[in-house]
Amino acid sequence: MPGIAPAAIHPVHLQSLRATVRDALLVLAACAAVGAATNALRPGGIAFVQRTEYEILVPCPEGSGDTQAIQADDPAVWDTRTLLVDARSAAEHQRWHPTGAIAIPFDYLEPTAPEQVRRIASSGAGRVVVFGDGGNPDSGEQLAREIAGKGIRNVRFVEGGAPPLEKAAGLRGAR
Amino acid sequence: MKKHHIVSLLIIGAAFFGPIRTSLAQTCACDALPADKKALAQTIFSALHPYDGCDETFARCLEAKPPKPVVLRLAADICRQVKAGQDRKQIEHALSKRAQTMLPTGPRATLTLDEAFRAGAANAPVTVVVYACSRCPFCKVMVPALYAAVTDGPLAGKVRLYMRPFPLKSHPGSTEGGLALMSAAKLGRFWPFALLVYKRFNSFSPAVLPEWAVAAGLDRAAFERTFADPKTRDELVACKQEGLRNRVDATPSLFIDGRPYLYDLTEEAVVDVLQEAYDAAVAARK
Repeated sequence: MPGIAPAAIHPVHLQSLRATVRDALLVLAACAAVGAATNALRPGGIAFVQRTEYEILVPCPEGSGDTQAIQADDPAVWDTRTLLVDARSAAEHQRWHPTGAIAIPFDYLEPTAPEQVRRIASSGAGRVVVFGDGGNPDSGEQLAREIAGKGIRNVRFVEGGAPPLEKAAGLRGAR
Repeated sequence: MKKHHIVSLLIIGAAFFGPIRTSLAQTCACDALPADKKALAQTIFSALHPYDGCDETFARCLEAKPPKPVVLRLAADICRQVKAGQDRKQIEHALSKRAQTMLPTGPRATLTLDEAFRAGAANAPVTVVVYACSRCPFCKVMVPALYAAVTDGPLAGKVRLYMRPFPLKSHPGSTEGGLALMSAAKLGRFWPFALLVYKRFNSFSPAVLPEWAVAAGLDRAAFERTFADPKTRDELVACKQEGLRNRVDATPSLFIDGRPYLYDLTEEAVVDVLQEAYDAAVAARK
């Protein structure tokens, strides 16, 4: 079977093609020159080399998750599947805390230690209820938001903090 | 050169120089819009009402001779947003946020106006408070821009600025940065130090803070002593707690005369809203 020979370009067509390419390059060069000159002359022209770091400006979030308040006398607070977390200081925890509550004192400046978050995550609890000092802001609510933001699910905080919780515990006479 | 080359160059020249001539001749934000965007702006003007200055639609309010300054300001702002490619829904939402920022609805935030953190004239009629983290990249841009605007810019004599340190836990070094800011404030050199911290943002480390304090005109020993003082930490915590009470959950967060700023967080938008607040304050005094 005979092969197909490439079609020879007629010399006239070749010359025309060269002229077209040359013209295109000339127009391109002219455009580039006009563009560069315009950019150089106008105020605030675009820099060919970026001298400052490119930044995406969005507000920096505190990194807290969603959580809801729960009343101290809600049966869910006292359920055995609930992990109670005390956000108050170690001294306040020592003074009183419900049986089984773990102490994770909340710090407004430093993040909660990862091992404390792992401790909650590995507890196997179906619900995490945090209580704090009941102030404004409430350390319990703040800790609840922080650990929810770190991936702990079903986190609540006791409305009003430790004082109503202590009262509810007294009324129940348990835990 | 052939005739079609000359024609091509003329077209290219017109394409480059035409818009420049037009923008130089027309400086109003609305007049400078291309036809399609001008049509969108007109549609918005025919449908929306300014939240202040006039009860009619923008189109009607702009026909007044002369239109109220606040109407002109809001119209120019709408045109800027149209120019930026925002659609009608986005512009309507933004205008609603601006209205929430400006109109005296809801309780005002309780803010500590500590003079050690003030920039701008003490008797300026408008007060803006910014909660900022020393390690927040957005604050690095916004805080110095606001400082420049109130001290030597369009807001000089009109607005006084107070910064409240709000260290974010997600930023490494934010506690040390916050303690350093509090220390500089207690030693009377808050703004020189804060501006330096933002200027040298990318070379921050807790170890360099005493050197930066010296560069900002502070005594190194006094700075280190104040930095390590537990009272400084307590004051920083109190500052953050105040922000949390005011529902601050990100930085920068601004409050204008106690009202949370909910509008666009660009320098241009913030300055424009503060100008509007100043105009309103001056009008209220008359």
